[in-house]
Amino acid sequence: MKIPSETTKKNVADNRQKQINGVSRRNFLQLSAGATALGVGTSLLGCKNKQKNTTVTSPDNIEKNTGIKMEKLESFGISTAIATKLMAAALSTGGDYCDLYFQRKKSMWLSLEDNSVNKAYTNIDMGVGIRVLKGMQTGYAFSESFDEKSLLSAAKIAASVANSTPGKIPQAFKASTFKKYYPDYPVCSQLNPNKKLKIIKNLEDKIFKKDKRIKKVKVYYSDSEEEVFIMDSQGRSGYDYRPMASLITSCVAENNNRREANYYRTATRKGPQLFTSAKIDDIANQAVNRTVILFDSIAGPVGEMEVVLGPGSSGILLHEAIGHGMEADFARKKITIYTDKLNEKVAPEFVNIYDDGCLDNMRGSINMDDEGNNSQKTQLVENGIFKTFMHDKLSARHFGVKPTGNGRRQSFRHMPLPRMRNTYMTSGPHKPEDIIKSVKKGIYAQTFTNGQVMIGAGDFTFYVKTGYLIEDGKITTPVKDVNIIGNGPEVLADIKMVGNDSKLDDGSWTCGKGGQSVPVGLGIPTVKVGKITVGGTAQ
Amino acid sequence: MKNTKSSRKHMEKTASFLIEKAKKAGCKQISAKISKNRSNKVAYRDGKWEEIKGSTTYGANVKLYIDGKYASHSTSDLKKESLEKFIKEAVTLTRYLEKDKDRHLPSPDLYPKSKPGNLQIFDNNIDSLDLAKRKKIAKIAGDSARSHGGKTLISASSGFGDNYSEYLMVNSNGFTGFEKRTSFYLYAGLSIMDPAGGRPSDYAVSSTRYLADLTKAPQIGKLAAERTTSRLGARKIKSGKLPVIIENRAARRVMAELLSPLSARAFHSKQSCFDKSIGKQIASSKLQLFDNPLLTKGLGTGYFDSEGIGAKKLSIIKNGKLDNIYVDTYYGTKINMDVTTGDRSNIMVQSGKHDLEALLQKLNNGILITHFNGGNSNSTTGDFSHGIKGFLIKNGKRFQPIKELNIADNHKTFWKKIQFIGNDPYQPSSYRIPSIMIGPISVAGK
Repeated sequence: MKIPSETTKKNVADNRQKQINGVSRRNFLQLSAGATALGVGTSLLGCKNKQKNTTVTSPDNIEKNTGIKMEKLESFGISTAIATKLMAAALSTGGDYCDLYFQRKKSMWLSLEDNSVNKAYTNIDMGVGIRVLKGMQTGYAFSESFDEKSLLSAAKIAASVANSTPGKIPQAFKASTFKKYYPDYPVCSQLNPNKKLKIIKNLEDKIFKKDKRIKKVKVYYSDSEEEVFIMDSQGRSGYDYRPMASLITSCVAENNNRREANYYRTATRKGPQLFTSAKIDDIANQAVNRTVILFDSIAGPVGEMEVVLGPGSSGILLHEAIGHGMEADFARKKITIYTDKLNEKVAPEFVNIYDDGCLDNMRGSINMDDEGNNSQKTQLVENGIFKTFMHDKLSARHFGVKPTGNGRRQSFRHMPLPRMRNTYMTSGPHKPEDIIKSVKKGIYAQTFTNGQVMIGAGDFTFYVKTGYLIEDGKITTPVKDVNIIGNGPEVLADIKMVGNDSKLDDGSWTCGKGGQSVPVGLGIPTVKVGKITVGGTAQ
Repeated sequence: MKNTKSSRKHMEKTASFLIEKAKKAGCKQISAKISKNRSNKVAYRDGKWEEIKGSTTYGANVKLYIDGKYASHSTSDLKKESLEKFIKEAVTLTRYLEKDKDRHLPSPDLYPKSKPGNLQIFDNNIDSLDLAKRKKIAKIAGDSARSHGGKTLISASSGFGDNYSEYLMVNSNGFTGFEKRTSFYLYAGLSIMDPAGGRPSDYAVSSTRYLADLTKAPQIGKLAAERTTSRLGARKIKSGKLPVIIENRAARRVMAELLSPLSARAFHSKQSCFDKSIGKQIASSKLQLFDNPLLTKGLGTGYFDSEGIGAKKLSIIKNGKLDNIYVDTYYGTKINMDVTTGDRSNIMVQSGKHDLEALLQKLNNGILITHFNGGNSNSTTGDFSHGIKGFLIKNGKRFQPIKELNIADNHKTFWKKIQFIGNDPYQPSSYRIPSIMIGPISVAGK
């Protein structure tokens, strides 16, 4: 991941250095950009006011006291008086907690095929989710209509989880303040569509120019701007503005009657400004190289062997092998293999793993989670010891701990769950070249498309899109697409070496769980695992 | 939702409004879709209610063809003033695009001439459900699962859900289609402690168009428990080349991958390993694969597709030869092929004679795959590689649960290795695939 120097600010890089202990300065710079642009411009709602640090608003005097935070609510066409009425209805049957989650999201996709940007798709999504908790039970309903009748009808459904005397309604809503890790102004919609078309055409042009064997190129550009306003029965309210832009390209190449395809995906909360000419050049290079190298690929090996994971997107190992198992809803239900492993040694002492929502412009970053909590940098594994699960409100309530800012949801149509943000391992003591040298026979896995885990058994897989054989300490022949399968706790304990080259990946990763998709990020240094099963066909 | 007629009128009014506004803005052709869905769900775990959920959603989509340019736009905000703004912005953005001479609505000849007889995809009994009834069904399934979970049970969960949807499509060149559907589902799942390590889990599910057709709740719980407890003591086996049976409930994964390169879109994009294979043998002659959108009570049933094209049965693979592919209007125009449909509906394989137990006897020694775990397929080359779990079969019997294994092959050769097709098409899915015995193939383990 390379970002041109003109957009890289030293102060941001220094902040990043503090944020990511052990991630090399070089890779760090590759990631950082643009935080100095925060706070500029106008909001999607047309509200030009600067946010106050704290706003206290009583439902009784809401009309007199329309602080900026409540303006955010009112932009949905809802007064605080109505919202309070809604909360009262939701808690009318004795729920002990309620939150209202207002969301508005505007998205657009542009696609290029056959040398022409000839297809677009746009989507407008808006609604409110109403959640009622009664102990560990959840009532949930949502409405896309903001008329009082529809809203109250939804509140009634959510309330049906409880069956006793009405709960308490807050007398005031205190607006929470959050640090900002990405632009809070319309970085996507303020860019003229013609400029977006230019980005797409430019990428296609560069790809075709790089290699004559490329026969087909598709490019997909997408961006979205999302606003979330949350208020709860503890009297808290919070607002987050979340931009996202992504660029995906797929290439098909032909050579001597052989055809190969590959792709490159990247995403950022920084918005389309990331897609500078230099960045597009980098994307084109990567997409072409990943495709044409496959002409030399042979069938992958079969069975258990040493596997070296390249820096960056191999972070998928952490996401699948341990990340999901450390989400506390699975621990609350006692169904994850990590249920009883808290404070136990799960990896060698040079392994440190974080789940971090506070990295500038990363795809998995959030200023607040979808329950109104501060985003956090949460250390999951410290010197090989498993330190904490990732919590949402419900699991934190169950375990009697504070939420970790991991309560996320796909949209107002879904209730929050503990979800990862950006999950990465920091640098270790070994040189990447020494790691390769130490392998007699194995594979080097560089890029990935997808992974999956079975929470209880701990078996996880990830699909290698670009990989190579390692023979006698050297990276040699590329291998075809191959899946790798291992057992999470066993693989974590079997990490033999960790490189000093930790790198965050800029891919457009999306995590699916319980029917909900959320954007996430990941990263890792070069890592050697003692043995994992490689699922090729070369027996 | 007893008064569906009035919903249709309202939907028609919204569609007309969108079409009128788009035409005024200069659109030559327009397709408008309006949808409405109502869904309810209750979830139960270990004797307690975990989740009660309910919602009604609305959506509108327009496909605009203007000045030779094309784009599709959706919104969930159906207020009149919002829709007016929506169309205005949609038209503006569409005009930014480049021209595409191949974009147009389907030929009116392809629209259904009339609505077919009752496809039985709507059950009035959905109106008989209330929260108490939903809870009762889920509780019986959950309690049954728990009672059969054995001594090492960690957690048993269950859930019941129902959906009602209405869908209207209007194409400006002469098509209006309206469909209403119901669906119901019931599931149970268990997690148990394995003294040998791990916390294996499994589930059972029933999904139908009619409430009365759901598998009875006690059976769902019992089946989920049997499946889960049978996973105790799973281990990894040595790598090798082995014949396998893909159980009906797992077969969807590889079948969907086989279908992925069988479309005009994939052909045109050079991302199909079968783009020169029409009329050629790509599978065993035992395989008859077809797409049937008119299947009574099918979960993929509908009398028109997402373009408005009239539904008809489509033979995909006949006696192992590639017969037809999915051709939508756009890519059909691009590669000069007759339009069939771009959408998968009910994917069906003609059943063989044997049930699963008889197939196990035929297999004698090999692997029964019950689940896939991750992996992927490359539709350009046909290579695929997937994690699996299931059972090691010895002498026709489930000898040992197995885990942490991987299978890999290529779709161009894999389907030619079909040995037997079962007689147990999987019911709770639009992929009604029976268990399939196939191989030998590469299995990676120790």
